[in-house]
Amino acid sequence: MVEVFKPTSLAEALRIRADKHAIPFAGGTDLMVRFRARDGMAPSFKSPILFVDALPEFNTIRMFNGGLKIGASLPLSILAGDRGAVNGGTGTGATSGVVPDAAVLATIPGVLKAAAAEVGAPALRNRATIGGNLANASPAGDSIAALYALSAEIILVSLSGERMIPIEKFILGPGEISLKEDEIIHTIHIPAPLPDWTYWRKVGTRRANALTKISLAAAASIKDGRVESCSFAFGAVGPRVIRVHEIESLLQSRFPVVQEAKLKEIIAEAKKFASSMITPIDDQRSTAKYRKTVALNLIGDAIASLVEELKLGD
Amino acid sequence: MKSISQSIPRPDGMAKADGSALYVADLQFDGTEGGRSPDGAVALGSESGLSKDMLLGRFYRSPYPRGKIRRLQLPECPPGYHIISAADIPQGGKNEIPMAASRDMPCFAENEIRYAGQIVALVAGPDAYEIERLIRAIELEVDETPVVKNIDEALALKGGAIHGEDNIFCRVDLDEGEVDEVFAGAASVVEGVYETGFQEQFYMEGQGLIAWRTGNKCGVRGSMQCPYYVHHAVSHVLGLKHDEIRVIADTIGGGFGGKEDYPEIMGAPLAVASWVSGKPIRMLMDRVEDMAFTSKRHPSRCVYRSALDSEGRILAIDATVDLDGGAYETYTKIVLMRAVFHSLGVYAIPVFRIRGRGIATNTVPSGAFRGFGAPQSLFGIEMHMEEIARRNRCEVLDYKRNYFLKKGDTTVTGGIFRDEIILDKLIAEAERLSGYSGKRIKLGRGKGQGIGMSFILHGCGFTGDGEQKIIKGKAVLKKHRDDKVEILCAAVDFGQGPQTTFRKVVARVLGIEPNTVIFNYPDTDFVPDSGPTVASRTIMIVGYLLQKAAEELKAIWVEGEEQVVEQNYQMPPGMSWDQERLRGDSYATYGWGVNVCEVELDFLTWETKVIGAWAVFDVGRAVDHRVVNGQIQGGMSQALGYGAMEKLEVDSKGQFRQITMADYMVPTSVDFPRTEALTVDNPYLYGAFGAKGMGEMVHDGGHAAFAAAVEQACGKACTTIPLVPETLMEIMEA
Repeated sequence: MVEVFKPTSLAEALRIRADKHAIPFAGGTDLMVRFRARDGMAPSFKSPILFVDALPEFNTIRMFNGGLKIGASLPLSILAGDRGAVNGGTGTGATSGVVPDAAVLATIPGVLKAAAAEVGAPALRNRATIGGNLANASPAGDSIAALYALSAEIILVSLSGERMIPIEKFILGPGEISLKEDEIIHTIHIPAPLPDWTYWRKVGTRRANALTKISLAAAASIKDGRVESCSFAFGAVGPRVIRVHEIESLLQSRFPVVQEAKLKEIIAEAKKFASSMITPIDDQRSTAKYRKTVALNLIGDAIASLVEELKLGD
Repeated sequence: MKSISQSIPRPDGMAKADGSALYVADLQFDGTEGGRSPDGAVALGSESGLSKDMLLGRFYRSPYPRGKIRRLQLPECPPGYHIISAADIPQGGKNEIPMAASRDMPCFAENEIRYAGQIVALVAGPDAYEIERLIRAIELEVDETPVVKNIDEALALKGGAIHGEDNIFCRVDLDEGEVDEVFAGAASVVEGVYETGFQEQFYMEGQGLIAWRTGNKCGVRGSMQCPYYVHHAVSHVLGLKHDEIRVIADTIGGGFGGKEDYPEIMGAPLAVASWVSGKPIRMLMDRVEDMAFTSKRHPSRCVYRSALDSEGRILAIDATVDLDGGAYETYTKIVLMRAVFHSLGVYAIPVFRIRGRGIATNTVPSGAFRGFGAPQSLFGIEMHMEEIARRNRCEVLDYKRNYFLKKGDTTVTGGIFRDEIILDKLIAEAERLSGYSGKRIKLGRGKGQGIGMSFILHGCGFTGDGEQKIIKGKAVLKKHRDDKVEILCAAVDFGQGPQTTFRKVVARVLGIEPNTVIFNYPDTDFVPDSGPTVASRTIMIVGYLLQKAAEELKAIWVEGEEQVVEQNYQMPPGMSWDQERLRGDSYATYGWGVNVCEVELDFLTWETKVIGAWAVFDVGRAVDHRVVNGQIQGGMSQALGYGAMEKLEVDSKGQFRQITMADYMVPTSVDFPRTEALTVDNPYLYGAFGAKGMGEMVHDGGHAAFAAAVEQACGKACTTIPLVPETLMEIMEA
């Protein structure tokens, strides 16, 4: 049988985590699949389970110095703005049922909201959490690609304190994260300034309940008609989400030069940078060739959309 | 009086919606010998296979795809556990599953392995963990032979022949006129190769059965379309007489043909295990095992060559229809017959040569799936007609019209189309609903938008004289002393509606309320063999027998007395069939349909989006509009999924690569719009209240309409389905 803990405070959760190395369990939508067993048999967990979904502080979302702090157990349905989304309502302990502030929800960057909205189906999004999506560390994880584009930082807590780590350092490989045996993912920090423009395109295997074949998450801050900073992150085209920093410096240096001829040249150059960095594979969902070709097509689409935004700002 | 077509609430609907319906996984022993559920419909006693000490069963499947078995070492069993294999088949029984004329598939693999996942042994016992341990302890050694993954490798005899000397399980050939002469004199020839993939039935409820033994009687119950098929298979494998076997079809959560053959393949070894151990055993497949190892639709490759005259008119067609039958023949021959008999679609072609082959490979044996060969060859002929029309710079609808079959025309097997063919009426309705012709012109070609129209016919009932010679269907009505009328037949409701429509047919004749008619799920101890629930035969053939029985009962009705009437199938007058030469009326009658599909194509990602779907059918007469519309909606989604999304590939061992719900892309409710549909009445004289079969033809043409629409949107020929974005990218970049 599987040993199960339902702590009612963060301190208790951290103690159990440190003593038992119990695996933190929020919505369980990935864990229950990963440790799936046949009918009539219990899931094959190798360690005790630590339910963290019922701790109120894991279910909050708030502004912080112009950025956002998102509790690790916040369900994706809240980020997606789903109708009927339930926060912390998984009923495994002292349910928090925290109702997020509408004004705060309105500041969620479009890329994160759109990415969350394309995960699974409504029922799954009500259980699946942003921290869980991170911990699963799939290169096809939709909220992960968005968080790369938003330069998110991950706050990890343990009995010995707190540490903050950029998402690019937190995710080590498929299913591998920089999380010590006594640590719990506590908060996702999206630093200021929140972007003025974002782009999200998921190419999935179908229109809902679909896994990602390729995705592009992008964001930019715009000042005086110029790109002050921007980011381009590709999902499912390598062992990790890939951020192509060369595209970012290219766009920062060139814009607002937006004549059509120039634009074509910039897109071609951006594609060249991305082309050398993305290394997709053939698998049961798609082909390497398709993933690469579409990833490059999406760059053109995203840059064209950014240019439209700059024109609007003129 | 209200039309019979007017819908009534489905009698089985509420129990399925509120969760009270009992599926095989839900069945629990009620502590009695002969108990039944509160509504009387479900047998719950120990005589019906349920008891406290029911065991769990699981198959041990070969991890090797192909080779001679060198050694099978079974571990020591703890008390209460059983491992059953070929050696346990009792004397008088046979280690072969009887399916149609084929006997090649063993119940348990004995000498050779032909596909990865083949059933080698069955482990039964009380505890799932111990069963798991025993399965891991089984040792199988196989001298491996190179794997044949597809039709090409089979025809190249890779690793030597799997079956016979040439890997051809069966052939179906049709000839009319002097094909070579006509081709020699043709002004031009158009040739095309059209391919379709595997398709998973994706019923909601996985395969599940219980087998048990009561004295010298063997029982099997659970999720199945054809209780008498299972009955026959168990009798053959155990060597028991017919009255020594009882089969009960329980509530079933979807079939689509997937529960036509597989319950025999699964039920026979399970029955052996129960017979030998003396214990009831329940086996439930989880989704992954079900997707990985149960029968799928036959992949196909059709090659069409058409000889044209100088005006672009078709003089003759020379076609080959190849089906990948998988590792054993099973039902491939009759699937191939249907594929070949539908291979010229709704067109009258004067001269033709068709060569059909069922081919052996090392994949899971292909089996029954809604449409049963017709969706494959109809895709071929429809896409070929698109190509010919393009060559002729002619609107495809105008071109096809020149060849439409009409009443009195000859079928491909030399039979006669005896009934009115109303394609023109169907097209008029389809045009009105969809605006097809206007859009077809307006959308241009290669501009990212397209609309396609496909035509289908579907032979209703068993092929040839199968109904008369093989099935010999019988249906019974029993009037109890309290004047309640009970339907006794072997037809199963797996969503397609006989629980509703049969009651309506009987009630309408007798002037009683449909919900007063008793119609329990079939139990072979009580119901006659009215035939399998397949082949678009249920409402037309069995429904008609019930209508006739009700008419007879009405004529002899005496209040307060028990009365029984029986009806046996009779071939409609004038129909004839020569099974040796495959000549004559291959089907009693046909359903007809027009499908229209409109798409948009995203040039960034090559994703297609279906923005409209329309369907108009001649179903004879709809016995219940809601039931018929449900079939149309579901059939269209399944056909569009087949055409657009449902990629199912095999790996280097011939095993399916997409075996989870995350990887096999069956459409969701948001993938396709609702189909705008209607039916046009064209009553059939020998069907219940004029009904023809329609459950399959709704899956026959949606994929071809979709592919035709995509051809217009991308401006290139699309001859292979599914047209997933990866495939479209290759087509457009070629």
